[in-house]
Amino acid sequence: MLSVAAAVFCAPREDPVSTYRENKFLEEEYALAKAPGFYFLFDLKNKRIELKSKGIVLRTWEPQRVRFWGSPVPFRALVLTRKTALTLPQRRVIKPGEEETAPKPQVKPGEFELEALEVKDMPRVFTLELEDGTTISVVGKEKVPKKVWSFLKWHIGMPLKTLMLHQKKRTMSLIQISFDDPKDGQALYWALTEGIKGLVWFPNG
Amino acid sequence: MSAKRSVPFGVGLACVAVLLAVGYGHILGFRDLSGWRKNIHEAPGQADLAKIQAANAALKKKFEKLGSKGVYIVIDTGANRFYLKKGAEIVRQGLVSTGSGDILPDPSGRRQWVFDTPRGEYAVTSKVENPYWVKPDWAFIEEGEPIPKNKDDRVVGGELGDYALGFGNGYFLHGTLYTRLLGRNVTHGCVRIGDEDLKFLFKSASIGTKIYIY
Repeated sequence: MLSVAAAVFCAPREDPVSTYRENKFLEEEYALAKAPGFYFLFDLKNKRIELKSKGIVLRTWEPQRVRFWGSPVPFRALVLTRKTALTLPQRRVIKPGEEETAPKPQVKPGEFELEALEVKDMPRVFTLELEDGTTISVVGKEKVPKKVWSFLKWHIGMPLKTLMLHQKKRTMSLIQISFDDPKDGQALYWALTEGIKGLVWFPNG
Repeated sequence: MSAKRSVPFGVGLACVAVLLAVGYGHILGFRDLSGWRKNIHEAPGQADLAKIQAANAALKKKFEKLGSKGVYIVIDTGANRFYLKKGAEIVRQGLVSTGSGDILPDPSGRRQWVFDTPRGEYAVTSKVENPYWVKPDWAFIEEGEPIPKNKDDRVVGGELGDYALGFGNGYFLHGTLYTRLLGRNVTHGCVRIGDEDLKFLFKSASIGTKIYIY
């Protein structure tokens, strides 16, 4: 009797806010999961981006650095409307009669160049624009001169931009992520197609 | 004030103005930042907690029903890898070749083909042993050959390996003669798999097995 009472008394009480947040998250994800196609979840707290379908995780990315600025992203399914980069990958147009699968001479021992669109042709630095105006900027691993520029841009440029937008009664939302291995960023560009829906959230804030 | 003194004074004043602006911008930014952690706003009253807990449990059950019951196949067209999974467990994985992304225009100008492996959720719709390939128009156009009028002239044996798993619209997971190209984007949209992996997949998958391609 005593042990039951102790167990009840000592049982961890669920935090109503966390429960409510979990509920909102489950509702939003379920709406995405029951629809056909893929969707993404961007967990800002745990620095994790998941590509999912029907609740199944297909691929996970864990950017080494995530920072954000501006107005919070609304907690609802958002469409990835556009992917932009300085140099976009180009498809090769085959000339009929040309041998297509013949690999070019080896560039390194064991490697050969193909005339095809591959992950390595994807940009390393790019932006993903969401329907509400949120920008997810993927930046490469930076070396010292670029790091300084990036620091100034973030700590001086962004506040000034915020101030200017504030004057015009406008807002901005920016999420910046970077990967130590640029291949991860390229794979993200490859996997997230325009039109995909997703959720950006901050669990148990 | 002399001109000599007014220049540094002006520069100093500008610097102070920029610093103030940056400072104010930071204040505005930090005010917004706190909202990122709370982008789910409202909180329930204690009385609603039990209802919400029940709703969460029900939603989790619904999720369990959504996912694939048995094995399913995942194809990563970027990494050119396949995964045969059951729940979160990887039963088998290996290399594949997927679409090259190239474009082939018909010299007549009336149509063109984009050699992408289609992305999305599919299911195994057919299982064929010792499949033969019925060459489509693009295969002849690509090689600069005339398109045959007789259907029998399109049939080629041995190209697709020992097994093929169809997943709709003429797309298959099949074998390959070009095993050194496994791991690369070289196909016309089908998914090529090595012999042993294909045999395993063929035996593990049944009609209706889900295929997720991204």
